[in-house]
Amino acid sequence: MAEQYKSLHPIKYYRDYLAHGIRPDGREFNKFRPILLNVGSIDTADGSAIAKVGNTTVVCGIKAELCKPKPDAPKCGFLVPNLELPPLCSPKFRPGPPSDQAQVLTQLIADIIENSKCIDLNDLCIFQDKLVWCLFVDFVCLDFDGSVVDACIVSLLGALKTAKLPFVEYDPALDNIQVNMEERKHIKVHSTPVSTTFAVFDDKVILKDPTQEEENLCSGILTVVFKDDELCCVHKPGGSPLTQEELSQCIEESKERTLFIKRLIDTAV
Amino acid sequence: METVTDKTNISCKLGILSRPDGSAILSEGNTTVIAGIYGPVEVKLQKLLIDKASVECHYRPKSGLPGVEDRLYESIIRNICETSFYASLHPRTAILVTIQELQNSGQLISCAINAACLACLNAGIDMKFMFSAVTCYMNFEDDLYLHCASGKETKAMFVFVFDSTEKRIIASHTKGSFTKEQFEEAVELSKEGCEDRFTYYKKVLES
Amino acid sequence: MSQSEFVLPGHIIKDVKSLRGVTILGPGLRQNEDQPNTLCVTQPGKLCIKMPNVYWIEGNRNRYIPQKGDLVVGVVVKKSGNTLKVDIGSAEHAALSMLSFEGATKKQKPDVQVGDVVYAKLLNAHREMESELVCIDSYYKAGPLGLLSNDGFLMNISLTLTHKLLDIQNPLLRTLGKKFCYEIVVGVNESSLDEVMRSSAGRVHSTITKGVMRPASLHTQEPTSCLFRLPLDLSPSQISSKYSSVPRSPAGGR
Repeated sequence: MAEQYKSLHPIKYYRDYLAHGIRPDGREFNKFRPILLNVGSIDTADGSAIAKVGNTTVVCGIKAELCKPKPDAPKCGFLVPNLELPPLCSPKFRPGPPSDQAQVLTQLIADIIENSKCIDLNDLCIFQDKLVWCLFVDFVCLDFDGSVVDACIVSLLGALKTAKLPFVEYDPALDNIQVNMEERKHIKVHSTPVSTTFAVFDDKVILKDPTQEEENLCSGILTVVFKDDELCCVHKPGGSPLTQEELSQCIEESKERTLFIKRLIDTAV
Repeated sequence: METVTDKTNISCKLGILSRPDGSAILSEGNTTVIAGIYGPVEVKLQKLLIDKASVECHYRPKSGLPGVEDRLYESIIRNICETSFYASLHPRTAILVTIQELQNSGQLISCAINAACLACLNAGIDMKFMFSAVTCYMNFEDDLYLHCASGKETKAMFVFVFDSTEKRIIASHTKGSFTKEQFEEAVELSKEGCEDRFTYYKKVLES
Repeated sequence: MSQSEFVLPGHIIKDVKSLRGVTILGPGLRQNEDQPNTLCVTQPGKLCIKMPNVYWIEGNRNRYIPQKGDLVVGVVVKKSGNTLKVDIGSAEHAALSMLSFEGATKKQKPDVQVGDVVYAKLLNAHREMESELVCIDSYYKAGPLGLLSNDGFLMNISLTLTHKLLDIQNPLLRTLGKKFCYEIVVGVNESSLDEVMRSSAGRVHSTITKGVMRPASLHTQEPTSCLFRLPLDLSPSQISSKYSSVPRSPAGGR
């Protein structure tokens, strides 16, 4: 009976649950789903990690390439994130060029990386004006079940902290590059950004770490990213308006989670 | 229609384009965008929604094709518009918002959002409330201010979108890092800025 | 009718008057669900109130939204079987049956081509459904409705102008009539019952015959000539009894 009710009146179904202070998957409003992080899972990548937040699964792989820096920033390397949402992860997506949502999330992740300054692009410089590292950070979503950004950021950190770049010698006189694959070193990760997603249901109930179902039914989504004690992104792309108090409350709650995730990443690495 | 200028450093003209149902050209400082609205119009079968109008937003940069960053702006503007419209009044139709960037010297997103709102008002689309965006900057001395001398480095930038009824936050977009207290301060400051903008809207529409 | 302040979306109107529990809302207003007896403004414009219980906003919407009973001028864009698709400037093309012309039968259909201009009445305008046009009234007579001649001009005009043209006191058409003999069809895309401007674009189709010095009256009884037949003195209660279920443009005064 519940199944039919759910498919006929999904919003009502949720309302009934939420009125009793619990969500259909048995969580309370402010409870997170369990997080799983596995690092170094892909051999062929320079760094990799798989993060699972509930059912949401994201694989992150880092591939490093050598390239020439831009003339206006001769000491800066590149970091190019890209999120792929294949049809495999959700029936919402079709094969073909990246969907709008994939592009929007990619940009959001790029913003978070830039704002948190977790990677200093100057660290990626091998020889000024001649040779820098370009890190391609590819995310592939295997299961799209809400709070994808959270999972992406966790897997990103896992991958970055395990990524090892080969030692490169550059001879400017001869323009000769020698790569020593045996001798590898870690990339310096300056901070640990942690993202928390909230969903606003019916303009008043705020659900933490929403599933895909909840995200679809909700009227607004909020993503807060903490970097240690500082905020580095409060992203709310429209949706039902929140008061300042509600927003502060969300920020406060996401702060509590930061330490936990940080410990998780450190343990995994 | 007359160009109206205000202490908010905004100037705006409504209904400058003849083909769209509503249009607005808006400059904040030196940043200028032009927005046009069609709606409610025929909808593509793929995007048809049976219970409400589908809102689409297209953002065109000054030159070249829209990139990934512009997609983010598009989605923000689209979501804001969708929140503010009474979309259920026009099911099986589409409301198209097109924004063309003309000049960018900072606070581009907030300028685009404000232009979208004025164009919607000009088109007479049914809205629950108006919205206005304010960009707030923080310099390296941790001072907050609403107007930015272009080209100056800032530690953080905040864009807040408020609704006109209860001054709640519809959207927020940030750059750089900051503490929670600074964030709250920025919200307060922007809230004051948005009041000015709503008064300005009224002035523009009445004239 | 009293015209008061300029209002913007989100504005709340308090102390709304009603007559026997009925308040008539025009365009730009919605019932506010949060508080009883208040209205929510959805369009920018001037708030107009006609005592005792009619409220509407006079703003400028440019896109036509079909309303049941509206007399509209449309262009035939497609012919498929027995139905015509007519562009009336709204989001969706309206359907017009070939059989809903005067004297049309299954064997004898009117000669309508794509591109022809018709003057028709909206029989049905439900937002969930395709709107439906007819060119006959309930007595199967065309009246002024039907195909419009092809030697005229079709112009899209602003709704304010339609309003003015349809105003019986407006001297423009009458003055013109002293010079030329002409026919004009103002497809208000506005209900014949609503004297209040529905904010939508109107259309004019006019044929001017030069040289004939017959002063053409705008209010002649000839069926093809004109359509200024606005019942100006419907009382609000009459309207509410007719359209109590749908919030629609009220009868405002001029």
